[in-house]
Amino acid sequence: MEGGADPLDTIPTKATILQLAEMKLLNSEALERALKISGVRPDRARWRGFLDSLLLVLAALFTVSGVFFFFAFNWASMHRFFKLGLLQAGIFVAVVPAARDKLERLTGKVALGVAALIVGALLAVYGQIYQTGADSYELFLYWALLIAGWVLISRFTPLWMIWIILLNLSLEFFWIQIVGDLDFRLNLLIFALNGGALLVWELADASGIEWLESRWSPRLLFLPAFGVLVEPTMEWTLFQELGYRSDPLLPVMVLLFIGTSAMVMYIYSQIRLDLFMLTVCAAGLMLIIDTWIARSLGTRGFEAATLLCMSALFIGEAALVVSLLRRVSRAWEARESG
Amino acid sequence: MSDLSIRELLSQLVGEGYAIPEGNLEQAREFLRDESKASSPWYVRLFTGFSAWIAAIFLIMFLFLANVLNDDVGILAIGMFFIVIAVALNRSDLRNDFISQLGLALGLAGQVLAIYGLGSIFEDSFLVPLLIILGEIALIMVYKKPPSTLPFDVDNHWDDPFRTLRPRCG
Repeated sequence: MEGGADPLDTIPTKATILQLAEMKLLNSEALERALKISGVRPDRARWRGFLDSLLLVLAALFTVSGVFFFFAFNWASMHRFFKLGLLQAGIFVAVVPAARDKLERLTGKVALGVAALIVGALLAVYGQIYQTGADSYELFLYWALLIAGWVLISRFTPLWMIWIILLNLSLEFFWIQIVGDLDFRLNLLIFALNGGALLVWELADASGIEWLESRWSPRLLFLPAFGVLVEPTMEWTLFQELGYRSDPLLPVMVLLFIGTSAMVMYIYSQIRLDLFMLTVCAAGLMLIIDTWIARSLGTRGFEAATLLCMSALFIGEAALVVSLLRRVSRAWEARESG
Repeated sequence: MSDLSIRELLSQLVGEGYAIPEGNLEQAREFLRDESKASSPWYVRLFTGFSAWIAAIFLIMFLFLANVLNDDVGILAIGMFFIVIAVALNRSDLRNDFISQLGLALGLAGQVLAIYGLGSIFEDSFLVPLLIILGEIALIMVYKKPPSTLPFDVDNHWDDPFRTLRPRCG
């Protein structure tokens, strides 16, 4: 049979079920029942579960932002020991449910996350009271180091992502304030940090660690890792002949861009399917290729024609990318059903 | 979400005593196969939409640079022409990725030009938005082809884009 799996064996979405009704396969009572059985329309228990987690996470976020604003607003009217003591008490209060629930349940994980965030508030307050002249990268770095242990034991994806964001911030502030030179070494380090985290994540997930299943975090990690490669490559395509930039790392970044693109396209189309990574990779490649073509056409002086070519190019490339993605996805369906 | 496939879902419904017309199953399969070809995840749609916008901007810049757009009525006419092509492409039977991407880009460019043309012809803060709103409503109504090509009888309310806003009775 051409086209891979039988569509009747796929799991229906809400749109599919509504379509079945449009096609007179389901009458209105059967439609109601179908929506319920398939779980598209949540039942009482699922609503309760959803509201439970939603309220828990919102409460945690509001509590933490409440703590931050409380200190900002009442800054002048509290003694410094009172401020520090209050924050330490806050950390303690947050850690207790985490210890009681043993981090198996969401409440424990969220409580530990709250404690980790208040550590940041504590450091910020400490830095304000004792003006040591320290640089702001130190705040993020010490914050990340202090909560590293909690992050390690949390098995909680959002906390890991906060931790990686803190590391990114430390690196960038360190570079801006201490090194000062914004060159491609920073790009290389950001690539190493986020790309490394992505690699570790995927390897650990492949080895079967259950809580790593969610796909949003590796996808989020890929964006900065790939973005810091696209930017120098684009500069290279624009200015290569002008000798505008003689950063010795530029060729390295271009090679890294090519290597990473090839690897990402191979891994996420052959080893495991992730269309998001493929789409981002294709968009990056498209940007580079089009920059190069526009520059080559533009320097020869037919401007209006260049614009028309670019328009056609974008339409053609996008269509090509979509049909390639579709082919990859269909090959996976065939592989899984066969 | 439960892990029931469409087939299992239907057989459970039959087991519970709901009437499922068996004859429509084969057509439903064909229709769903087409449908699964057409739908894409949100980031792919974001990508295609973004590329279409860039293509549309390049196209408009080309028309201005090539001095094709020198009077307001001409701009409006070209915009309407693009929109007509876009609708025709979108409703045609030979839809593939390239055709739909081309239709999207032409539709966007056509709307920008038509709105610009309308604005500079009438220069009226009441009439122009009104015409734009009416035009966009008309465009939404004709843009999608109603699936009346289905080989079995369907109550055809597909050309009514507001049906989901109305309370369903029964």
